[in-house]
Amino acid sequence: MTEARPLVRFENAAFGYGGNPVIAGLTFAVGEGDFLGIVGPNGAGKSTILKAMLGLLRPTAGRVLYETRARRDLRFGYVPQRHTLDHIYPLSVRAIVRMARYPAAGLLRRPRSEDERAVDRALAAIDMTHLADRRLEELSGGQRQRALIARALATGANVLVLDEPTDGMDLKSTHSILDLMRRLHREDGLTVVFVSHQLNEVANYVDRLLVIDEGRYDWGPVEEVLTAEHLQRIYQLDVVVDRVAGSSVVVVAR
Amino acid sequence: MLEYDFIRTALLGTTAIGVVCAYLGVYVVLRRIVFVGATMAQVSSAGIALGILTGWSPNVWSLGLTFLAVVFFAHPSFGKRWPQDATLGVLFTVSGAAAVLLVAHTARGNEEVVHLVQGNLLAMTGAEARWLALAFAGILAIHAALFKEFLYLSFDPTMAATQGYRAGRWNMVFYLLLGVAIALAIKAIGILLMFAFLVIPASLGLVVTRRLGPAIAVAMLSAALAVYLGIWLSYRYDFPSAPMIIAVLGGMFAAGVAWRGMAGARGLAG
Repeated sequence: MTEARPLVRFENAAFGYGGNPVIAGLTFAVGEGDFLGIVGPNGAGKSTILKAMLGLLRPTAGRVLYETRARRDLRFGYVPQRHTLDHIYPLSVRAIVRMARYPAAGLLRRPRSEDERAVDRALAAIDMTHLADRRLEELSGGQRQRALIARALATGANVLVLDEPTDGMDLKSTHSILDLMRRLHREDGLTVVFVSHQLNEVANYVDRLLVIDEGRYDWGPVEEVLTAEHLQRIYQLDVVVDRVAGSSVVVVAR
Repeated sequence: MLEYDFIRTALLGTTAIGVVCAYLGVYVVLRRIVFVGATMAQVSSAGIALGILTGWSPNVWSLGLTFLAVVFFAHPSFGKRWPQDATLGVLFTVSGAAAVLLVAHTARGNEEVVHLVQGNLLAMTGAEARWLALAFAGILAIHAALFKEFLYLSFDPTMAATQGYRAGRWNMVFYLLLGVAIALAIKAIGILLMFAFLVIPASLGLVVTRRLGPAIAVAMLSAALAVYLGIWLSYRYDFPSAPMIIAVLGGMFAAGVAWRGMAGARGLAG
């Protein structure tokens, strides 16, 4: 695999909240056109890494660097964990997607027709046009996730950053969302970064993996990271990597 | 009843406060910060009590203390290191007690406490009502102008921050407008009615409608209607006006919940 032009580089970066370290010594990069999965258990620091990537959190040590030329063109489309949004808000899918256009509309101004067209395009891109007038609470988990992806797309993003997009979903919805992410990556050329705690789900979709657990991590192309040797070092478990029906499966040896 | 100046004055001032608090209340309910509103009201009342005790501008004391509360509530660390509800509980009870203690030995001690809680909207002067109408129209105008920003930052502050909004500053502006509204309202209509305006019309709007625009419209209209009906009922049957307005609001809310239940059962909801 050829190395893509790096967009964001973490150099020996450490993060924490209120003096409590979450992760330290992290060095990896997100390249242009990457499809990167960040995998680890709850509390490992996956969402922290996303926030740092988005510029919402400063490292307590080390650096997070944006390529000078790329930073200007870097437009992140963030998709939060869907359960962090409160369904008490009586907002339609269209109203939620339209929020992504508020900065473009400007202060004291209403979104213009070009903003509405961007909303239409984003909804069409993820096949949500027919649900545009539904409220978030009226949608299934998968549909809610699509609505939030549409909002991220409406920002005009070239880097999609998703926080646990398949968490709590059934098998069908999970693969539907993962397929959508892969389509956006392959067909629309988006750089996609997402976090999950399901290694088996993620490993068969992404090109690169960042696996973290209790401060240990490994990063690289899937075929390099997804080996028993690498995973045993990270998880400190007797891990076996096998192939079933064309897919990689990671299990703990008994 | 409209032939009386003092009733027309009370209608003007109370409607202005009620309608704008109902608008702000939609955000308060949606952001789930009702208890923050209640605590701000108590802090503000302690400021008024301080003004009564010192004999120097209760409004300034009230706004000053409310401003300090706003800075505290809008700080990013609020609710992070210690449970938010517990902090609010401490502030709420201590402020409430302080308000009572501060006016206890003034010339009209108990009467002042009753006014702080129940208000005395029929004692509003014409100049006071006009000033309140102007001030609340200003708060509404600023809030409406920043509608989309407040909505975005209330609904999803993290996503908004990734697009360049400074969530902390916007939060501060939001709480400042709320704090000013609360501080001005309490002096004129009392804690109880102000808090009722902040919570009941918004809850009614959100119960009987399924979109934000209509919910705001219902909230503001129901507040205006409750002011008129409440003052008319208090005039007609000789009851204190502020509790009567709250009773009307409570009745409207109960009817709204019942309607919603019946509409839902018949599949008409929406």
